[in-house]
Formats: sequence, C-alpha cells, structure tokens
Amino acid sequence: MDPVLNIDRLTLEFPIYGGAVRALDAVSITVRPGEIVGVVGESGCGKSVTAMTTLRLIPDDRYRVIGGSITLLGVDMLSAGEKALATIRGARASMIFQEPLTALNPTRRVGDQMVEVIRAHQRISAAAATARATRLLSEMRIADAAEVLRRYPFELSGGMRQRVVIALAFANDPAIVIADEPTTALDVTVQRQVLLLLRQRSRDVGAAVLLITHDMGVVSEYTERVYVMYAGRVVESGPTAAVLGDPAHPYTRALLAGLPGSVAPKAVLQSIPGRVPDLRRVPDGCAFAPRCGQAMACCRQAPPLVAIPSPDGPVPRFAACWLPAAEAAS
Amino acid sequence: MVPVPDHPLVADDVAVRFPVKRDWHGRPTLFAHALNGVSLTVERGANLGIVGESGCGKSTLAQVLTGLVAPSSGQLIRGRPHDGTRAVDRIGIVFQDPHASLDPRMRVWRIITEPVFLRGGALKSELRALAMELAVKVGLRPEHVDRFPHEFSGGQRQRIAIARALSSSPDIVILDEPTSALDISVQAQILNLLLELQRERSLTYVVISHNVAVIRHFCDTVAVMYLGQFVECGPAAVVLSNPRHPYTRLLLDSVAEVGRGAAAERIVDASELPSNRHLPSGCFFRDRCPDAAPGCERPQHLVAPRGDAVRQVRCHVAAAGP
Repeated sequence: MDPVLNIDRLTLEFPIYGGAVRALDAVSITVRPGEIVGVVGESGCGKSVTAMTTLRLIPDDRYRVIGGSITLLGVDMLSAGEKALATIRGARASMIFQEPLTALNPTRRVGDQMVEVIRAHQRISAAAATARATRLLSEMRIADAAEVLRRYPFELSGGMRQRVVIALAFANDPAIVIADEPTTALDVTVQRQVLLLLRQRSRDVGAAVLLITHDMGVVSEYTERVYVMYAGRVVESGPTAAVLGDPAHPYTRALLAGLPGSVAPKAVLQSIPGRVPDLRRVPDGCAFAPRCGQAMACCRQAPPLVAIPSPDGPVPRFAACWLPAAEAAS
Repeated sequence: MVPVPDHPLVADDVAVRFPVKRDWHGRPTLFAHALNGVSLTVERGANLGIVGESGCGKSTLAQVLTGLVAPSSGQLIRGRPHDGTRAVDRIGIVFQDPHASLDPRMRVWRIITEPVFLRGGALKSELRALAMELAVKVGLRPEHVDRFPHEFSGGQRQRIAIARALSSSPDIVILDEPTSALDISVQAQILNLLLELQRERSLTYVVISHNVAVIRHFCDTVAVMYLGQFVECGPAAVVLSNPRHPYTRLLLDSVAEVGRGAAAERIVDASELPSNRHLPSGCFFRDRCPDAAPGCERPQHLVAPRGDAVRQVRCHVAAAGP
C-alpha cells in the first residue's frame, strides 16, 4: 500500500540574521494507512516543525527547503499551490494542536466553527452539517452534544475542548491526522481519555495518526511505530516496543535511562552530559557525538542509517549511528 | 493539637478559600474552595510527596506551607529553630516555571541572595560571595552570577531557582513541580542535583507534582490529593504500588509509562474533576467512583484500612476490606 505520508530526506532551514537555523536535517518519515506513528524528542529537536511543514503551515517566506520532499496523499506538498493545499488541509489531512484554547476561535460558538469546517469541504446543507457535528461530538463521548454546540470554547473544560478539536479533525473523514502534543496541556486522567478516543476514532475510520510528543510513556502506550529525533535529525526508528525495549541508538538509551523509575528510588539517574547543540552550528557528523559516552573517531563523519535486525516481525528498524555499524562489521 | 517541637512543619486541618465573586458591597458571595481540611506533618529527613491533578489544590498547599497564603481556617505550626533564626526563613521554595519565577531585571547574584537580602544586615560583598558559593554548588560557574536570567537555558534557570531556595539555609525546601517545565535529560540532572544537595545539607523536601514517577523516585511518604483533600496517604512504596482509594487507582492507571505496552482498550469514565465552587456533599469522588456504594453520601474521613496500619484512606469502602 502506498504510504499516506512520505517525508523523504527533508532538509529545512530558517534564515536568521547572519546565518540560518537548520531545523530539519535529512528527515525521513513514512506513515502508512491506518498506522499510529509517534515522533518523540526533546524541545528543539524539530518535531513540531516536521508537523507544521507537513501541512505547509509555516509562512513560505520564513523558511528555506534545502532538499528533500514531502508527499502527502500523493500530493507534493512543497510545490502545491494554495488551492490544492486548501482541499487537503482540514479534509483528507487534519491537525490537532497542543493548546485547544488557541486552536478554537474564542468569539464563535463551537457549533458554528464545526459547521464551517464541514461545509468548507462537503456540499451539504447547514442543517445536515449541524447533524454531522452533533454525531461527531457524541462519537467523542460528549454527553449532550447538541448543547455543547451552542457553547463558546471558554465555557468548556480543557479536556472537553480537546475532544472538540479532535472531533473537528475527524470532521471530513481524514486519511491522516497529525497530532502535535495533543495532551501536553491536559491532566493525566483526561490525557488517557483523549488519547484512547483518538486511537479509537482513527481505527473506526481507518485514519493514520502522526502523534508528536515528548512523553516516552505516551509513545509506549499509544503508538505502533516511533521515530526518535535529536537536533533536527531522526536518530532511530522502528516498532515502538522494540525501540523502547532495546534501544539501538545511544541517545534513545540515554533518554530512557534518564526517566525516574529506571533506577531504584533516590539512586542517581543517568543524565546526558552537556546540552543540545546550537542549531546554527551543528557539528559535522553525528549531532549527538559530543554528548555520547561511546563516541569514536568515526563519529565525526555523518553516521550511516543502519538497519537493526529485529527478531519480531517484518517492520524495519533503523538507527543513525556508527556503533551498530561497527558491531555488524566485526 | 499539640505542636511537636521536633517536627519542623505541621499543618492542622488547613482550609483555604478564595473569594471569586462579590456583591455590590464588596462582600464575597462565591468562593473557590482550594483546600478543604488538610493535615500533614513534615518529618525531618523524610521527603513528602503530594500528587494530584490540576485544580486539586497542590499549589495552594505549597503556598500555605511557605506562608505566602494564610489559611482561612486551621493552622500552620512551624517548629522553632534552635539557633534563634526565624522559622519562616527555614523554608525555601522552588517554583514550577523557571522563566516566570526569576526577576528578568535582576542579576543572578541578586536573585540567589534575595531571601538573605530581605532579612537585612548583609553586606553586598557577603551576598556576592554567598551567591558564588551556591552557584558552584548547583552546577553553575562563579562568573554566571553577574548575568541576567535570560542568558540561561531552562535547566540552568531551575538551578538558579534552587540556589535561591538554599540561600537562607532552610531545613525544608518545597518543590512545586520542580521539573515539569524541563526536558527529560535535564530533568534527570535536576533530580540528581536535588538528591545530592539533600544528602549534603540534610534537607527535607516537600515535592508537589502531577508526575507520579518523580514522586516515586523522590519521596518516602506520599499524599494523594483530590479537590482540596488528601484521599490517601502513607509510605510512597506502599501507596504507589498498591493503591487502595479508587481515585489513586484511577490516577495511577492513567499515567502512561514506558514498558507497559499498548494501553488497554477500556475507555475510562468521561467525567472530570468537579468544580471547587460548590463542593459536592458526602465523598467528593462519589460521582466518578466505580465503587460507589450506600454510605458514600456521608462525608468521608481519613482512616486506616482494616489490616493496613501504615496508610490512611478517605473511603469507607476501601477501609472496610481488601
């Protein structure tokens, strides 16, 4: 099956005074139909930029594509015109943002906003659109959907708002939903409801989900495949259980070892020395090498993308690192 | 309630309510009930964790413990330090957001020594020397003390906030969500630093967090809060591995953790935290509780469950049997 989203070696810069910030460096991400794929990394690793450029949501004059391509539902997103973008965005591909209060228009009733999105892509009457909005909300387990449609966003709790935003994302039967930190602003019990509903809805309609998060726990429990990003690069990818259970890249290993709970209470946690590189001047070769405990001389050259053999299943695993390459050679 | 001198901090049935609406006389007509009868004792050397969701009153409790908010009823008893310093100086606090809690127009040495400066009587040279010493202690360089907060990353700012909390040489440091604004790798550094400082300076931490993993890593005892009350408290190892109160169970089930595999299909109840403007009658958790039974309409008290003396639960069903 053709992937719904194929980001191929995308390199992207933000020009700034006296230079450029290399936000993405040869990032390749593939999402197949119906799959829930996670993108995980710390702040500044490029995960949100990936989400935003996938739908071309960053103003065109703010960034520069150095190389690579984005193919979303068969459309080359980097060369698509406004008209083509308008038919994709909010219809076959939709987005869930982190903060539901800013994603909704505060001056308009929830129902009006939902009807607008539905009628922008479907030629149906306002009454039919309202009926559809009611059904969408009740599918998100909102009890009195008709009543909620008449409210303003500020009258709803955070969890309710995010459920409205998810209902909106599913309004026009999307093939892919890009969720950028959908539950970071929510409490844990609400987070669970929202993520379970998101997973349920995507399975019901067969939509793929690209779930962008910084929370390893969320990745572990709600995704099938995962991409780990660091300093604008994908350092490791593969089936979630395999990557988190037996990480191949030193960065993934260090991230997991730094979680409280990976050691006995009050024992010293493994922390990563140093800090994330300045994206204006990323070192040559592996971006993680200066902080890596296992760095070698060859780490000053760009690491190869090594296929990691995984005993369970045909889903490929990759790590951008010299270590597995050296192990395979010896 | 007898104040126990060796306990540096005791809260006895503390309640806090904030007026949210007033009539035209300016008299309050509606209150937000942030804390509804919280009693706790901070034991020297035993870290206390307070866990709960937003709106449960954890941060108000932090402010009460530091003396920033006065209780509406109940009282707070601070142990008397032996060396004659004021008890209120022996409590430090580290706030959640290091971007908002540092004055952008103060140099770092002024920020760090603000608690000492406010006490008065210290020379500028002494303050600077103290700031440098503390900066080194928390992993900054001595020359950093002449910079401004915007020149630092999030992790470094949190280090500055920790140095400030330590400057009045407190016995108790209250950590209000100390790492929730930080990335995982930085979080590990800060947690390590806090534990190292505790060993060095014999501190006691009160950790307030929604992050169960941090509480489990850090604390000896834990209290689970719901709508301004403790619903379960006891040794962290016991409560967090084998919760008895239905809310504690819901909370722990909801936390996404690495290594648990795909989340179970069961969608948990779609209800949410009730408003604290009008408190529910009886058990506060009753409307969301899967175990609700006759008797839940009566107010619940913290009691030790049968055959389990180390902890207390605010639930007659959990207290009655396994």
